[in-house]
Amino acid sequence: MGRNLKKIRQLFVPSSTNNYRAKLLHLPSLVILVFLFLTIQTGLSLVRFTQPAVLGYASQITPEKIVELTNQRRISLGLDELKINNSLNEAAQRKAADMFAFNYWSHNSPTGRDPWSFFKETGYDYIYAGENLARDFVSSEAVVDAWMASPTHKDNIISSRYQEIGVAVVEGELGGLRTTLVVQMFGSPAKVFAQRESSSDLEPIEQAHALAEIEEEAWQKTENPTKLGPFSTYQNQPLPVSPLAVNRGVAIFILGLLVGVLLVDRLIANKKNIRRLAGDNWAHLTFLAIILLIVFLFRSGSLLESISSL
Amino acid sequence: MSKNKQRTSDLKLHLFLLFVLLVGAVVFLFLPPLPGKKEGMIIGLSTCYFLWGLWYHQKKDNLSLRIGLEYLALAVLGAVLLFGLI
Repeated sequence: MGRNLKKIRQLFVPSSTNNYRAKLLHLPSLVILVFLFLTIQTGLSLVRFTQPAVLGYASQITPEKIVELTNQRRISLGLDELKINNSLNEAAQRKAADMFAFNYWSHNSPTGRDPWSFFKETGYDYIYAGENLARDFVSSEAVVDAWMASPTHKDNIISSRYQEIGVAVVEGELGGLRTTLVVQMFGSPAKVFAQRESSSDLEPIEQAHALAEIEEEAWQKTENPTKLGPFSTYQNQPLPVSPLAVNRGVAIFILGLLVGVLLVDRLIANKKNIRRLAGDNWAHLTFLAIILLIVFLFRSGSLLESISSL
Repeated sequence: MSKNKQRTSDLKLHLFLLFVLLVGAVVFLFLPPLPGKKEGMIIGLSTCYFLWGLWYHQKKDNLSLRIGLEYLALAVLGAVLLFGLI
């Protein structure tokens, strides 16, 4: 008992038995902490593939709020509001369904389909078109804020060329992770058929038709989630465990432990006037405190570079 | 160098580190979550810290392999923890 206590003490308090430096701050202990975190990461990855849909991001995002916030940003810049177009809404939902069906996080499907094929499939003839994508966000505000912070997404949101908008918020499983995909599509309807024909970015309609059957199946499975609202796909399942929350908890524990040990080590070394050949505790504390600050303030979510037909 | 001068010099170096890391943290938090950008910032932050450690101890004339490795281990730990978030 006393021996164990002595060993634990060595971990946290500098003394002659640990070369006057808390053992947790010795190089092997730091390396062990790195490997401990990496092991937890590997464990999470294994859960992701062996128990799909256990990990994920539950969100409160709604298409209506995304449109509202997008229009707020436009109005604040003196631009016209975008009108909701049902064909664009449907195109966005079909795109999200396709992403879940073929398990990809990209503007272009692994089957070769590009975003514009979804516009055509729903009968939306456009002169200009654009697409913004987001995933793993928790709120509509966070999605729009992230888009506005990215120059290319912002260009789509505040472009005066677009007149209409369609948004889909669909929950599903991507890469073994339950997530919420947000697809935002912009368009300017073609007034003259010839204008559409002259667009160099148009994809042959045949390519879209080749995959229509599979995509239709995926589309049916989503049961029009825009109308059902958040959590619609998983309303009968428990909320997923957020990988961000797990990582954040472990990171806070490790960082808190090190910050505490560094402070105790510094105080005792000062009190006993111990001189050691070691790194500077204040510098370590500064670095770890900044990392801790980031861990506390960081919010989840990923974007892809936006795309437009311009 | 007198003790006071040494302390002032130390303080300046620590404030410089704090400033660099704070700027890095703010940029990291406000960067749009596009592929590659956050990763680059994490590597940048950790590298800055590691290099500062080497520079600081070089200036104090007590740089050794053990100290260098200590900074490297903490820089890697910080980077690994942040990579776990993105």
